[in-house]
Amino acid sequence: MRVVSLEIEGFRGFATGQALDLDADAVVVVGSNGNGKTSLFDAILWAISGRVPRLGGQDPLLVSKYSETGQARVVLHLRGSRNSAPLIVTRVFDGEKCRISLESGGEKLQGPEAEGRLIRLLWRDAAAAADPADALSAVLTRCVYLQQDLIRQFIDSVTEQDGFAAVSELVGAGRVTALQVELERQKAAWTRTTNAKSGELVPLRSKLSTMEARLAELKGRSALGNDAIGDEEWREWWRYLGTIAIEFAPIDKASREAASKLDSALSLLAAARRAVERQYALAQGLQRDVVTFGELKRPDLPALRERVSAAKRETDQARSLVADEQSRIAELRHLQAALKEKAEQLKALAAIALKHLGAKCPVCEQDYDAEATRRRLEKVVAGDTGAPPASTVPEKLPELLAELSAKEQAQAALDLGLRTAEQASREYEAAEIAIERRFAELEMANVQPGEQLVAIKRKVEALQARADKLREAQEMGESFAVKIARAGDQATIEELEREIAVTRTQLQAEDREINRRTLTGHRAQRAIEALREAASLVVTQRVREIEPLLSDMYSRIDVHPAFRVVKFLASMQRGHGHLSTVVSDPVLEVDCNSPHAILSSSAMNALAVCVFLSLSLGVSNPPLSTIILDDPLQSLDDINLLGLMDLLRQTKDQRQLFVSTHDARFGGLLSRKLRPRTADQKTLIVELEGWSRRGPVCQVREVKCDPAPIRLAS
Amino acid sequence: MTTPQPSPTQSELVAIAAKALETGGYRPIDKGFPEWNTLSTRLFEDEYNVVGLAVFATCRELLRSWPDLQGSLVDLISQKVGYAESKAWDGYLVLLTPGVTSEDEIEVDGARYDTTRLRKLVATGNDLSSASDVERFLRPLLPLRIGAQTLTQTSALDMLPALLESQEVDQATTRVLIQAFAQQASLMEALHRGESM
Repeated sequence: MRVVSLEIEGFRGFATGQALDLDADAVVVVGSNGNGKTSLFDAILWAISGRVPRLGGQDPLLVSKYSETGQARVVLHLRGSRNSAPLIVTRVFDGEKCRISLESGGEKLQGPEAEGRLIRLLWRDAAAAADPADALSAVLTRCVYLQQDLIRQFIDSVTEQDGFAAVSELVGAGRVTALQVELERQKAAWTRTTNAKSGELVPLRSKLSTMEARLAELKGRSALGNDAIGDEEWREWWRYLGTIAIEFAPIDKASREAASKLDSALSLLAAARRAVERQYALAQGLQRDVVTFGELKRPDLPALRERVSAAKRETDQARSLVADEQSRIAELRHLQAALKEKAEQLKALAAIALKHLGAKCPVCEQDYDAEATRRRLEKVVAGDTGAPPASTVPEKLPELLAELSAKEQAQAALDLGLRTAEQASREYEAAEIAIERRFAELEMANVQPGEQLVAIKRKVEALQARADKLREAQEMGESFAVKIARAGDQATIEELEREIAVTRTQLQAEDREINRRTLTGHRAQRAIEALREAASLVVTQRVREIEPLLSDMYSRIDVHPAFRVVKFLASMQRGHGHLSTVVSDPVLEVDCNSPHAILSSSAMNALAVCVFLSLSLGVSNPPLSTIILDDPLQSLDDINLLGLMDLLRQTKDQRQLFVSTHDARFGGLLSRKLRPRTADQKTLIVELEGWSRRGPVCQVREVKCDPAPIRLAS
Repeated sequence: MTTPQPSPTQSELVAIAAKALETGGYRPIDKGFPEWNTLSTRLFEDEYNVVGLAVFATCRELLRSWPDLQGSLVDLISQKVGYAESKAWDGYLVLLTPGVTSEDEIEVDGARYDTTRLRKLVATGNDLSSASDVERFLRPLLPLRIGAQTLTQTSALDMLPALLESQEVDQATTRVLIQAFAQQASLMEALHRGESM
């Protein structure tokens, strides 16, 4: 596929529309710097890839500041062979949105469909890349378009990794790396999913473990015995329940409800047994109480009360006697006190009278017997008043008091006896009532008193028998329950065994799948490691295939008198590919993988062009059969310049060649060097003369081939 | 250790260079210019270039003779090609010698880098130790051998089965991966399905 024509409008240096016929084997673009040479070549790159990486992805810079439409538009006509239908790529950018259309053989595609078709037509490998347009752009700048300001970068500024990546893309190893990266990404996701699946089995394993433990427990329990319930004993048992008023509809012992019905019946049976046992205990107690009650006597309360009353009267009488005596004694003592007081007063009067005793009476002045009176008075003073002596207190009171005390003690004893008898009487009555109530409770109210003990004995025996029967029935019912439960265990065992088998099968299947996934992961890992190495091997193999061509070109330019051999060095270091250009001195066998340390700036430019051309010509199916060199002749010395021109002459026989130069003299030299060899070849000179805000003025002229190229040999 | 091959002699250099040029599409010119048709000189022409070949016994002789030879070649070209014609710019003087020198290297380089009238391709015994050296030296005048040097048509992905097999990844696995990658299908699923096949 080669370039046939180009229409540019509003793109970078081309403000107004220009249509250029570029259908030639060689096109030399001559114009001073700033006249639009690079814009013209950028337009070809942009039309194909939608990118101009050199501008750093700043798409707005693509639109000319003086574009009359405010948009950039490039129409690129390509053609595969001379007679094939042209492929017309139209790309338009309005500063925000980029549109593409593709026309070929009457078919017109637009947008992503056009983009995809274009990539498949030009560089099929790029279609598998993460960003096909980027991959295509990388290939174009490695083997189609050598940009002026990137010539040196092409070999000495990019890192060895970048160089490897770009060449990898070019030689197809980029797809190997892309495959490796994609496989790594997918493998990581695969491993995460596998781990997650493995984790999801944990609950299932736990469930299986629980089921197995439960099964072991059930089997251990079932090993203790597994007697079946006899039909007759089952029916008999239920019949018996009917006889004790526990009514249930007949039920099959194998039915699902048998266990719950049996449980209900056993509950009722237990209640009945508890009731009978309570009655039995009641009857036994009654029996004891009746015996005890029979031994009791009701106290003679009236007689006791009479004795208490008599004793009370006697006590009162004794108390009265004591009181009388005490009154008499008190009166006597009062009298004695009055006599004593009178005697004292008389003694005092007698003393006073003695003191004042004279011839006559001091009071009435009458004569008296003074001696007799004196004696008399002296007797009185001496205590002899002449009054009768007070009687002594009799000894009767203590006796009366002792008698009273005895009476009171006797009465207290009788009171106590009465109260005790009253209490005993009440208890007797209560016992009597309780016995009556219990008789009633035991439904024996009509039993005659003399027959009570016999009746109770019969009742106790009857209750004992009933309780025994109920206990037997309950035990049998419980044995039924155990047997039914065991029968249920067996069903559970069978169900568990089925479920365990299913779960084990499921787990085994899941484990097999996880193992398979793990194995797939291991295989992927091996493939990843092999792919890492393979990318390097591919690049190494590919660059070795290209190396002779590079060496051929390098030797044509005569870059260095000693370092005459050039080769690529591809390697894989820590998972990353490295590619460097190595120059060698074949005579002394000295290598240098930093050419810039050896070569002059001019020689470096020449080497860069050689590397580019070798990659370009070395690729058997490049995106375009066109090589675009943007001013590659700068800074070259004469010998390199001539060598390069001769190389370009040879190159144009292999590829459509676009070369630009800012130097008119070089332009002239190029037009001569790149002249057509034969009449069916074509060389064009595109002259960009001056630049205005409308863009450059383009003059296209054709360089004629030499009508008689052989002059000396004829 | 192999015995080093003797360097080509003067006559061998003439024969090798003439053969290389003729193989490269040049026509030998053996009439009309006797001074360029001697034991040590030849004249060739193709659609673009006129090439004068001169082989000298020694470097000194080469350095002494090349200006006259250049003048001779320019004269004969000017006899047949007009000054303004493109071919007038395409004269080449090839100067060879089996002689080895060290003291004359600067002068030899001077001749090589003198592009005033013709481009000179100059090589001494230092550079020409074998026939292939002669051919390599004449490459600027010869067509590119693209056919033999382009990449094999096999795509890099197609090379993988063989490359990965040497690293214990069987070819079937690699093909499964490549096919899935080309179809933008899941690589791991493809690998997994492939494993179960």
